[in-house]
Amino acid sequence: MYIGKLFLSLMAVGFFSGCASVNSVSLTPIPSNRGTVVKAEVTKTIFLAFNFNNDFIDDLVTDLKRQCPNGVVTGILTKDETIAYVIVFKKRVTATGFCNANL
Amino acid sequence: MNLKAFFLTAVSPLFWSVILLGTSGCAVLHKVQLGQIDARDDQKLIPFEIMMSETGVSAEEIGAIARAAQTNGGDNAGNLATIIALFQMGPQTGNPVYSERYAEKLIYALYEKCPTGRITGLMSIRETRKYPVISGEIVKVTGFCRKTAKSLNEGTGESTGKSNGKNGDT
Repeated sequence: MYIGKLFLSLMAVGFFSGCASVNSVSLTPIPSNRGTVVKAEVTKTIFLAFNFNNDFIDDLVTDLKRQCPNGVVTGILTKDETIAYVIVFKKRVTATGFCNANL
Repeated sequence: MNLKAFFLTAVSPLFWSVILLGTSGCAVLHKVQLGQIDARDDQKLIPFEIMMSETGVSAEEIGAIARAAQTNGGDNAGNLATIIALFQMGPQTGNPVYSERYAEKLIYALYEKCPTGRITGLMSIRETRKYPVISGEIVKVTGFCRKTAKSLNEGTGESTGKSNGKNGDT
C-alpha cells in the first residue's frame, strides 16, 4: 500500500514537473543606469507538437513598451526555453531589461 | 474503390482533418532575439515585418516513406536517403536547405522598409514551418521604424530630426 502511494506520488511529480531546456539566449548592451527592471514573458502550451503558428511571441515587445512609457528599454536578456512534460510541452520566452527614461 | 466509398470518404470529418493537418504545417520556433526598444514618443513608430524563407528537405522522412512502399526500389531509395542523412548530421535548426545564404539580403530589406535607419524593437525569429518531407525554413524580423511626423506627411520615410547616435537606434 505504502509502496503504491509512493509510486503514484513519484509518477505525479514526474508528470507535472517538466524538463527544461534552453534554446537560445541573447543580450543587448547594458546601460549604466540600471534602476528600473522590466520583464515580459509569453508562453504557449503545445500538445503533441501540434503548433500552427508562433504568434504568441508578438506580444513581447508591446508588453515591454507598455512597462516603459516614453523611455528606452536596454540590456534586454531574451531567453527562449522549452519545458517538456508528458506528451505536452510548453514554449516560454522571457525578456528582461532595464527601463531608462533619461537617454 | 467504388464511387459510393469514395464519396463517403470525401465527406468524412476524419478525411478532412487529415487533409487539414497535412497541408497546414506545424510551426517550430527555434530562436528569438530581441533588440533595444525605444518607446520615446518624440517620433512615430511604424511597425514592419520581413520574412525570408527557403525550402528544406528531410532525407530521413524521404527514406521512411520509400521504405513504407515495401518494394525493392523503395528500399534502395530508403538506403540512399539514410546515406545522405549521414552527411547532414550535427547541430542544426530545421531541415537542410539548398542555399544557406537565403537570409543574407535581410539587411537590404531592412533598409527598404526603413530608409531612415532608425529602427527599434527589432525581434529576430528563426522558425520552421513543417510539412511532410519538406519544410519552410524561415527567418523573420519584426520591428518599428521611427519616423518624424514631417517625414510621415511627406511620405518619404526620411527623417529630418538630428541623429546623434544616442537616440536608441539599433
